[in-house]
Amino acid sequence: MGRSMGKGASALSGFAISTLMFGLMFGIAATSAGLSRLEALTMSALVFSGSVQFASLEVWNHPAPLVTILISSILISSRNILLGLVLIGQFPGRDGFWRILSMSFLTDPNAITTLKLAQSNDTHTNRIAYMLGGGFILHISWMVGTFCGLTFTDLFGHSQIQAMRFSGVLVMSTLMMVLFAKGNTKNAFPWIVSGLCAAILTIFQVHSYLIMPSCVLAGVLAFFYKLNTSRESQGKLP
Amino acid sequence: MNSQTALLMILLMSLVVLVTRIGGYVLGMGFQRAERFKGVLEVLPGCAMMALIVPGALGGSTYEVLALGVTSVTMWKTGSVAIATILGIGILLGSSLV
Repeated sequence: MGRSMGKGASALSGFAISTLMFGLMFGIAATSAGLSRLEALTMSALVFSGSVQFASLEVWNHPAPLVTILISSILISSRNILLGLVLIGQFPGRDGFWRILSMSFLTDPNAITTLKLAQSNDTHTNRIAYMLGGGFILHISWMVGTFCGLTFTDLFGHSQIQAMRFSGVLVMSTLMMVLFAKGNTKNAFPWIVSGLCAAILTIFQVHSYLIMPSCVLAGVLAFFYKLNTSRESQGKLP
Repeated sequence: MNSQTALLMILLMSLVVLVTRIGGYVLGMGFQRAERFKGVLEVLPGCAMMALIVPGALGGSTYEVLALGVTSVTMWKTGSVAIATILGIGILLGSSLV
């Protein structure tokens, strides 16, 4: 099991560098948003999800918008459900506890490398331990990155920290580009509709807690509209 | 946000993420038809992120919008998170000196 964990950690060492970079950015953005060192480190340790954490920073203010943060966390992390579905049947055996533990470290790179391992017909490597090892290395780099980011901000003055309050939006835009690339732009239409909805609601100064559910609803409706039109056009083909 | 509320928020966020991480696998084992929702699940995170990026961009200063544009285009062209974010942060830091 130890060897398989090491193999998983080694396979994900390349991704650990970019995770460290994201963690560093999170540390900087968290300071800028007003989180204490303890709060930022606790969030990185327990949540361990870049997109969810950066999204929460965008609305992290007083009074606490608990519902908005929770809704955005549910919607953004819903992608994990998809990853979980993809991994069904990839873990032979009956060791339920380890299976659940490895799933609690589920991330995109972790799921992809575990799937690649399953496709390679490698019967010697324990896939649960492999995924757990990969999860550990990513979690460690995420924590180290956050700590470095928090320490890094000590070097800056107040005006620089204030300037970096926008860094959360920058990181989310890079994540958005990753989604565009992964989806081969097939989901571009619902995302553009969602963005347009956000723009209209922001211009008309609609309350911030209504923007998220309205945009997601608009995006989902656009998805079903596109699905129906593509089915109809397929039906018309000779 | 006071410290106790912040820690409660963090705990709730971690619970939500944990449930989705384990939930997909457990759900898929129990319900074979869960795969039907794959399309919607692919779309949801992007919609939620757009709902945060767009208001941020519209409320941003000229330098912040410039940083967002440079970061997005660099990420799209190079695929490198490091280069894209370093450029964006560089513009933000530069703007604080102006």
